[in-house]
Amino acid sequence: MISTNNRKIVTRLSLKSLKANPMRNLAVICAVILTTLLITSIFTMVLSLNKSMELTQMKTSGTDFHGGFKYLTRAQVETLKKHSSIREYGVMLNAGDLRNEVFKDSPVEVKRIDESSARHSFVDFIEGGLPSAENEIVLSTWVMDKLGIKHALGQKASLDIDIGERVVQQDFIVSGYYEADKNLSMAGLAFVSDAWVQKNLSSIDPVKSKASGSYVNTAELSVMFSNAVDIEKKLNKVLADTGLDVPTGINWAYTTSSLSENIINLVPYLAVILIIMLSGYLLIYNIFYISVVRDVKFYGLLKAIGTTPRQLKRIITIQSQMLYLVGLPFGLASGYGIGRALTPLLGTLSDEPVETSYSASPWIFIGAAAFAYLTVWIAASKPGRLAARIAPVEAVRFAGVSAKRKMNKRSKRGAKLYGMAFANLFRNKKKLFLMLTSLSLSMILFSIIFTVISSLDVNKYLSSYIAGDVVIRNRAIVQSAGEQPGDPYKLSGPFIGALGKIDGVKRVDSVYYKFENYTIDDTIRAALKPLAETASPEPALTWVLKNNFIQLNLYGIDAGWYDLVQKDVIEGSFDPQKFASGSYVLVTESTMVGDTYESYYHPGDHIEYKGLGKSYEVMAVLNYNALYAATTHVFSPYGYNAFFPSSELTRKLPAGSKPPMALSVTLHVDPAKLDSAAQTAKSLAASSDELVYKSREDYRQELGGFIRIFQTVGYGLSFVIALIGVLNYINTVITGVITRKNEFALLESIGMTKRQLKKVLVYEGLFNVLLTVSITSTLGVFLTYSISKSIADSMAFTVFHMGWLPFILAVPVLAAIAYTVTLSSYRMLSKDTIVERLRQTE
Amino acid sequence: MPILRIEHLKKYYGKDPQTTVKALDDVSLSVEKGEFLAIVGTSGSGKSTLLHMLGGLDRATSGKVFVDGNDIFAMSDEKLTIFRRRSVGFVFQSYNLVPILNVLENILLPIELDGGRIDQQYLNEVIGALGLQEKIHNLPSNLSGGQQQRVAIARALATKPSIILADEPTGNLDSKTSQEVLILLKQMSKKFNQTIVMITHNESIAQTADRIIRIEDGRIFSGNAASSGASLL
Repeated sequence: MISTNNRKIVTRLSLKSLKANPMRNLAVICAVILTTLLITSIFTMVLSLNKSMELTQMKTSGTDFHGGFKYLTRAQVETLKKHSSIREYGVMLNAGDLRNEVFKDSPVEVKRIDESSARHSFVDFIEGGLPSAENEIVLSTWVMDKLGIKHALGQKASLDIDIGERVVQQDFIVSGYYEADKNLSMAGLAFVSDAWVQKNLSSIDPVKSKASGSYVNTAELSVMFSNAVDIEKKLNKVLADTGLDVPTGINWAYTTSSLSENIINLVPYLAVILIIMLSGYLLIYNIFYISVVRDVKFYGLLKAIGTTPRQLKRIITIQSQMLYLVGLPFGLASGYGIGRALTPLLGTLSDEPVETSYSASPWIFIGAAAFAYLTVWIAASKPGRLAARIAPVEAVRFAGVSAKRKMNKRSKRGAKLYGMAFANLFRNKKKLFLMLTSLSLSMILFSIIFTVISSLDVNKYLSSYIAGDVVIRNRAIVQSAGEQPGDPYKLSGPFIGALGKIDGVKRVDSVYYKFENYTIDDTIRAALKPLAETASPEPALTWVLKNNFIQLNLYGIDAGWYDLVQKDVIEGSFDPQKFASGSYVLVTESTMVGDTYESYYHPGDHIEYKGLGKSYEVMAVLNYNALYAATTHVFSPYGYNAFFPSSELTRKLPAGSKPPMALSVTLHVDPAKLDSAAQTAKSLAASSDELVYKSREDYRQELGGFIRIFQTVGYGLSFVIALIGVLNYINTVITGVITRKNEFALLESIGMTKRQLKKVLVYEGLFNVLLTVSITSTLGVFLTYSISKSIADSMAFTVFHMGWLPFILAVPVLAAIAYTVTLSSYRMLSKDTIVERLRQTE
Repeated sequence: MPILRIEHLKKYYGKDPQTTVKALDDVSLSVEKGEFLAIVGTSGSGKSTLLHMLGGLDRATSGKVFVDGNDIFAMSDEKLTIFRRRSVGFVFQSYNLVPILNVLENILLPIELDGGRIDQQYLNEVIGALGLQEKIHNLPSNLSGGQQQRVAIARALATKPSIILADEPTGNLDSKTSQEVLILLKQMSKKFNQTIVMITHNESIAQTADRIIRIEDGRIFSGNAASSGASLL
């Protein structure tokens, strides 16, 4: 029915209409830029963070190959690598392990690799390259440090290489070295040349060495497929096609919880994007709505002449799209810049060391552009419908007032100025609603962020991590779950003694740690059985019941910790003297299904621990995270922590029971000598890789950094949203005045003075503030309380207290804004004479 | 055959029987092709409402309007708009030109909205007859009232509609300009065999019409409502 060539006139009308409204265009473009900027920066941060995490995980797993085939003979490598699905491959030959004394606790594997493997294994040479001569070797800077040689080519390294059958002792020359982050790569590596392999390993049969467990002279073929989807299936297909049966490995960096894989992690970002879209929508919608209301005559006229509703809608849509296109590049560019600038900040929020890498994925821009477009489209569609619905006859009369007003006005007080002002507010309920929503939203958001930040409690944070002035922990134990190399017994008795002798140290409190697989007794079974009898019991629970044991952490604590016990007691009572006798145990609640906590035991029960060879009476039940600073911070599902006096762990234990490990030493230092004592302790701890030194001040700074990030992002966001709210308010007030120009002229012609008119406008502004405040002080307080309480409760080191300041502060700030905006819009008004203004109707 | 037929047209405002305003109360009327009909009445008599109904700008409470045999109230909003821009030309008292478009664009707007081809010869004829050749690139704000109304007439004629509805076309003009505009309007309609329905409250202007009907309180007060135009010619 509608032929295509009327599009031209519709486009032309849109362009003309654009030209006629420069101020409105500017406002929409700013809104588009703001919205796009915020969305782009979020996208940039999320994708960059995701990329950083992936990179970190790949570095941890040691390669970015998709997967590989292990323990191969040379013939097998040749067969496999020819498979058509393999895009790229690298061959790594196991050559042995270093047996030098310095590597006792941190194994170093010796390999022979090709260029491709080096490239895909993050071996970035600082100097030199892969070895070629028989006596050449490539080492990482960390291994060089351990060996005590300088970071330079041509250095001599005397190595003992265990090749399974024997240990080869040889002096090598460093042909290349690379920076390896010992926190990231799982094991140290050293690379020998092919010549060395030919000479030393040619006699070793890979099949035999595989059987013996040394794996020397077996090869690993790492491969890259066309993509990372379902790597396991692809590996199996290669095996099936070649008819080989060898172990395979998948690079878990591609499968484990990167941000994109874990939808839950994306929820907060999505929420932020939604808030941004909502405020962008409110802003753009409001501008267009007001512009349609203001130009209602224009649209009504177009309709009378014969513009169809659909064409009218298109006129609005085209305008919004053009403004969107103008604003888009600026928003994308500045958003990307801001996103990149904020990414490192976000990275520091994570517990794990993350190397920041930036994503420049086209999806950032496509996604942000799409979300921004969606916002603009939704925001413009309703004003478009409004324009389309305008009845041509109404057009002449329309002044933003609903025609269907039935309400009778029965006022006995006559036309009081404030009464008029109040009535004016409700003339356009939709506009009022939009304005109040955006103002209240920004205030509520601000107060939530403010409340959460003010709930962060430095002391609670500190007490979660440190009980004294300085703590030295053994990292090798804390991260025992991973494959972190290191000596779990590094914190030795003599070392602790040396710490105690430092000048100024008043007391030394140690924590000893022991691990026990506790066979499930009747009490525990009774508690767990009902939980397992659901349709789909938790995998961890099934595992526990199948293996018939739970994992317990046993801690021996020095007397210095006793003071911290009392606040975590939930059942029974803690008596330090009785506890010190060694016949009692403090047990914590266990981590049960779905983050609930429950204790198997009650005070008075007796529990026997095999590792300690003794039965203890339960003195009290504690919170699941009691004495958090003393523990490993690792909780095993359905297990619990048990605390004993340290003497119970350090005494002679039954045969076969592993000796306890000293987990941490906390020093209480005389404040006057804190600096020097801390320095001495720090240098003592620096003597080994395993020991981590942290002072109270270090933790304080860590939290400070966290709070700063939280403040930057939080206040930044609420500032932008507050800005949108205020812009909305300004827009509403100014256009409200413009559309009523005539009415004001009329009022003046019948005798209202300018002073009185100004008063009406000021009253209107104040009523707006009053309404906003009444919303924020009821619904706002409720939302702030419930949302920020749930956020604060889910964060470890917060003590919730409601922030009232934003609510109180908002009143004068809003009042000031309202007053200024009203006055400036009034000034716009009074330039023309009454007659001129009266004439402007038609 | 009448080009315009109105049957028992009613337009009531308000639902409360006590306060209902009967803008049109059972009006029937028929207009022949080529007729020039003037509707006179005091303000508030319902004459503007009647005109709005005829052009499909507003919908009736009950009753029917047939334009060229088409029941216009049976059409959807979209269809009605398209029908209107093809078959009805409007001339308003307040000109109602689109302020952001120049004279030529205003005149062409209905054609272009319809996606139709422009009949250049016809257009030149209309523009020439209305004396707008010099002004076609001016914006409406640069024109006098008479000039603006001539543009509005040109716009109404642009799609070669079968009916022209004029709502007090001379209401804002001085008497000399009024006469000019009126003569132009009449000439054009004769030339292109168009039907004109014009509202006015000026008796002398009404006298130029082929037929006059008077409307008071929403009813046809005098005049031969059902008469055929032919008898008056």
